[in-house]
Amino acid sequence: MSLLELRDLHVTYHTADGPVPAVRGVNLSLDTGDTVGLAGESGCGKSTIAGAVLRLLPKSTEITGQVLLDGDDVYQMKPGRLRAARWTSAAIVFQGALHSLNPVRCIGQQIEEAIQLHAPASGAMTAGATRTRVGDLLDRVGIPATRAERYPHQLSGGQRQRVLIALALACEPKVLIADEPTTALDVMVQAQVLALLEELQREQGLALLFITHDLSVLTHTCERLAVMYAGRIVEEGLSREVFVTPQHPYSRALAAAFPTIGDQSSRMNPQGLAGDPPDPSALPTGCPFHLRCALAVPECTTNDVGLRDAGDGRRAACVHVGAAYV
Amino acid sequence: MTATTDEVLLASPRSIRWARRRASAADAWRRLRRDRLAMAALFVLLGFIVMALIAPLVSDRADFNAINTGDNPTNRPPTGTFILGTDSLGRSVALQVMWGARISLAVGLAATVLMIGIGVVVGLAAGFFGGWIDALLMRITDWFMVIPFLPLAIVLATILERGVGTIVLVIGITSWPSTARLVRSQVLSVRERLYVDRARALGAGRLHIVGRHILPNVTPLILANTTLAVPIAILTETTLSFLGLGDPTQTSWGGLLESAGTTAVKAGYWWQYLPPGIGIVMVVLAFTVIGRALEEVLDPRLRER
Repeated sequence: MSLLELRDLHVTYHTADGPVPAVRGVNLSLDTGDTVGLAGESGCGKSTIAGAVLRLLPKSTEITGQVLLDGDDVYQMKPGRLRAARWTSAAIVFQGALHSLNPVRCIGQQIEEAIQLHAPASGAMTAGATRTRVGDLLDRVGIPATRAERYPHQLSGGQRQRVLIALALACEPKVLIADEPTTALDVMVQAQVLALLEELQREQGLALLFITHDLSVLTHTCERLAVMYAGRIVEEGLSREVFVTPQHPYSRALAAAFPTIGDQSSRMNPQGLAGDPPDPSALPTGCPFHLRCALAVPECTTNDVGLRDAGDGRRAACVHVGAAYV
Repeated sequence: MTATTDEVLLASPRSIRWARRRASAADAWRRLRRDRLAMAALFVLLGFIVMALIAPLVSDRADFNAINTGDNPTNRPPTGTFILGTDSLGRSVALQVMWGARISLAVGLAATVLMIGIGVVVGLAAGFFGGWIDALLMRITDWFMVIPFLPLAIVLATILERGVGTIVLVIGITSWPSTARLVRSQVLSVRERLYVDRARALGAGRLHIVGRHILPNVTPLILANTTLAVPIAILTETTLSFLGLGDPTQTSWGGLLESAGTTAVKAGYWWQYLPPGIGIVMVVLAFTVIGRALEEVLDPRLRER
C-alpha cells in the first residue's frame, strides 16, 4: 500500500465564468523514500494537486477520483479524522514563505502550534518538551534555536523558507509535499534549501512530492519525474532519462529551455516554447498541446492520447510514442 | 525568559504561557516608556483616576444637599476655601468636578467595553463564517447604523429607568455597528491570508483559527478603535447628561455643564463651566494619545527592527 496515492483525480473549480477543469485525471503514487517531481508551467494544475491532497481547496470545488493517504480516502474522512490526518500523514512546505507565516506571532509559537494541535489529548507534551522539540526542529534546518522568539519579518527569505520546512516536519509526517519551495529565492539560497530538503528526505525516509516549474531542480532532487500539461501528466519516468531523452514534445521543450553550460550552440540559440499554455476553461480539441507542438500531425487535432508505454518503465502521452520516434 | 532549565521542564504549558505573556507585557511597557507624549497622557489620566478615587475620602456626597450649602456664598469666584469657587446653589465646584470624574470615567469605560464587545463578536462571526450568518448580522448592523444616533439614545434614555446603567446600555447598543463593520472588513481580509490556509492544513479547527490567527491580527485595529471609542463614550455621556437625560441623583461633567448652562456663560462665572470642560478635553485627549502609542507598541510590524 502506498503512502500517498492519487487515483484518477479530477479537480474542477467553479468560477463565475463557468467550470475550470484544473486537474484532469492524474494518477500518482508515492512510497516510503520515494522522491517524485511534478513539473509544468504556471496554471497546469501542480499546486491544485498539493491542495487536493489535504483537502484544502475551496468548498465549491468539484473533486472526483480518490486521494489515498495510507490507504484512507481523504474525501471520505469525517472532519475530526481529517484534521488529525492533516500534517501527521502529509505536510506541505508552502510557496511564499512570508505569507504562510502569521506576521504577529513569533516563529517558535507557530511551530509549537502544529505540535500542540496534534498532541494526544491525555498525554500532552510538557511545555519544556515542546520547546526542546521546536529548538531541535529549528536546529535541524540550520536556524539557531534562540531565534524561536523572532517574528517572521525579522528573518530573511531563506530563513523563512527553512522555518516552513521545520514547521512541515513538526509532526513527523511520512509524506512531504514541497510546493515550489524555492520560488522567489536567489540561486545560492535555493541551493541551500534544496540540499536541506534532500538531506532531510534521505535521513528520515520521507516520501517527497516536489512541485516546481524548474526541471533542472527536479532532476537534481528527484528520482522520478512527472511532467504535467493542462491538468494531465504527459510524461513520467526516471528524472535523468526524462531530462536527457524526453519522449513528449512538451518535455523536450521544457528540457531545452535550460541552457547547457559550455555548449555554445545552446547559449547563442536559447530554445523557448512558442505560444501560451491553453486556457483550462477552453481546452483545444484532441491533444491539448497540438497548437504549440512542432511534431503535430493531423491526428493530434482529434485524438487525445493517454499515457502510453515508452519502454523502461517510462510513459508518455503522445501519438509518436510507441511508434518509431520522429 | 529568565527561568532556569529545571523550572522550564517542570512548568506546565499554562505557566509557560503566562511567563511568556508577562515577558511580552514587560517588553511592551519598556517600549511605551520611551514615548514621552504617551507617558504624559498616562500621567494626566492617572491624575484624573486618582482624583475620582479619592473623592469619597475628601468629601461627602451629602455636602451637595441644599440644606448643607445654605450658608455658603453663591456664585463665588475661586478663593482659599473654595478653590474653584461655588455654583448658584453655593456648592463647591472643585468637589463636584471630583465626583463628576467618577461618573464620566466609569460610564465611559463601561460603555466602551460593551460596545467593543458587541462589535468584535458580531464582526468576527460575520467576517469569518460568511454566508447567511454574515448577511443576517450585517443587516442588523445596518439597521442600527441608519437610525439617527441621538434620537435613539434620547428615546432609550427616556423609556428606560433613569440611571448610570441605562446610560451605559444606551451608549453601548447605539455605538457598536461601526466597530462591527471595521472588524468584519479586517477579518474578511485576514481569513484569506495564506497562513490561515496553512493553519487549516495543520489540522486546526475553526475556533483555533479564529482565536490564534484571526483575532491577534485584528487586535491592533480593535485597540485603535477602543481608544477612539472611549472618547466617544465619554462625550456621549456628557451630551446625554447635558440634555438632562442622565441620572439626576449623580454629579457628572455633562451634568455640571448643564447646570452651569447659559447663565454662567452670560454672567462670566468661568469657574463653573471651564473645569468640567477642561476635564473632558484632557481625558479624551489622553485616551487618544495612549491608544495611538499602544497600537504602535503592540503591533510587532510597526516596531522598528
